Amino acid sequence: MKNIIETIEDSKREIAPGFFETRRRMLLLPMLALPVALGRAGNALANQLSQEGSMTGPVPNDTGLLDWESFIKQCVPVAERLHKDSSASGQEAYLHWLASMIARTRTSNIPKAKLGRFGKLQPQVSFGVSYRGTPFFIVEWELEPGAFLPPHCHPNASVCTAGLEGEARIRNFEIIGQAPEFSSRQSFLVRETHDEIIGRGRINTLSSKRDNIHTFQAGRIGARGIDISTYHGPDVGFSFLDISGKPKDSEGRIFEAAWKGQSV
Amino acid sequence: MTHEITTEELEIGEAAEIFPGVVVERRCFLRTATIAFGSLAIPGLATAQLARPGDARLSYEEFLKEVIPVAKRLVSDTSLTGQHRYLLTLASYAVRLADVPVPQMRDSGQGAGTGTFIGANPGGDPFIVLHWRMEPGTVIRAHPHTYGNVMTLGLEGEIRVENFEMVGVRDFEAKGTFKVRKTQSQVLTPGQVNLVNLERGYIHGFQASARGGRGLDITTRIREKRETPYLNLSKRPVEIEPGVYEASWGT
Repeated sequence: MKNIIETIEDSKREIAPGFFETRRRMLLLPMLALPVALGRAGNALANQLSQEGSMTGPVPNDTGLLDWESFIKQCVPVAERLHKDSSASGQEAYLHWLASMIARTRTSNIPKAKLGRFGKLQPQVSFGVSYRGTPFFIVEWELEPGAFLPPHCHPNASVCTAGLEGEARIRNFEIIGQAPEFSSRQSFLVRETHDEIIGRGRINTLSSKRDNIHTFQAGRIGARGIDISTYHGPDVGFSFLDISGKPKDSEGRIFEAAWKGQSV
Repeated sequence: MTHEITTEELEIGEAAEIFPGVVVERRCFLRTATIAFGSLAIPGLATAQLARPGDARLSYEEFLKEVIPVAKRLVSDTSLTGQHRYLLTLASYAVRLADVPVPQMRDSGQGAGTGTFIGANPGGDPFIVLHWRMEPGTVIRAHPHTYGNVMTLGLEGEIRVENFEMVGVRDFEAKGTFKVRKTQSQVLTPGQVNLVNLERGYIHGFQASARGGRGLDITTRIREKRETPYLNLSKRPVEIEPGVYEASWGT
């Protein structure tokens, strides 16, 4: 059973035997690249546009924020101490500490990963590892407009997802009762616990104890962001799920689900 | 679900009823300032306190002692990012709270019917700590936060919390209908938080599960107090995928 990083890196190699593909950013999200290219003026323009016309709401101003090196220097020592407590409340404290630190970090300064297309998803979903450290590693993701990353679990791990550009809908689920092993195709029940918008300056978290399954649906302009992932127990792999479109219990937001392995 | 309080208007040691049956007292600044300056003088102390060994839960008093100096340091940045950092930092302490004593409560006045209650735990500064309880199936009507941000913490039971934002420019005095977008729908259980930043997710409403629920609203006033309307929301979204609803302000 592969873990998330191995799956991402295998995905880059899977394109064709001996053929490596590196996705270019030039054509993707051109509207969103503009503010970066134009610096502060672009940010101001983006802010104004957001306020006036779009649904994304105001976006953070990068002024006075931590650069990447300061983020690592200030975040990691405390994160290492908090990481020692893998209880539910310990993971919550850890995740909210990470979130409070990434919220004050200049997003344009976060290392860019070398992205590779993931699986055969169409519109495309791309991943790359942008930071490997202790106790966390960071996976950058990019969703083309309308792209869908199927639901998947993160056993024994927590994830702090931070939006960088564009917008996606992120939903979290929890397993009700006991789920079968990943190899089983037997159905089980999951409950939707979060349904929210992720975009620049917005954060979603999951821990090994709650909301451990998540799925992404990109909006009309696509989305880019990072997952700050941390293991709080042994790495036992992961699996995607099929979750029924219609809830079995609409009031309780309970759905039927089944594991579907690591391929999409 | 918060009625925000102007503690600045109180004299030190003065108590005021900010809600029927809910009394707050302004605490002595010098005492808390001593703690605040003490931690400022030692770089890293505030964060070091955060990193407690093991599954150590905080009592309410320990929580206040640890979080107040940090909150005082962060509260002055009222930008979107500053509020985000402030609320997430409060959350990183609050999630370690053991249960909090239940104060005397009265009807919240914000329910769609009866069965929602609110009180206050003493001691917050620069925030106030409101303590709420919802009976099974009850609803707190959606309302905007225009001058105080909120970190909601679940303590008992289960509540669905929904956050909304106005589409386009915010206007809390808009006449007629306008569009709002649901930015979050979350099941809030003990130890989990929901954040209301005045720039993000600033309208919230609560629906209690069959088990009801109880929790805290840690509220920090950062803007001028003003009248708070309620949100009248269409039953179905007018645009399903972005989750956009037609709405109007009401009383």
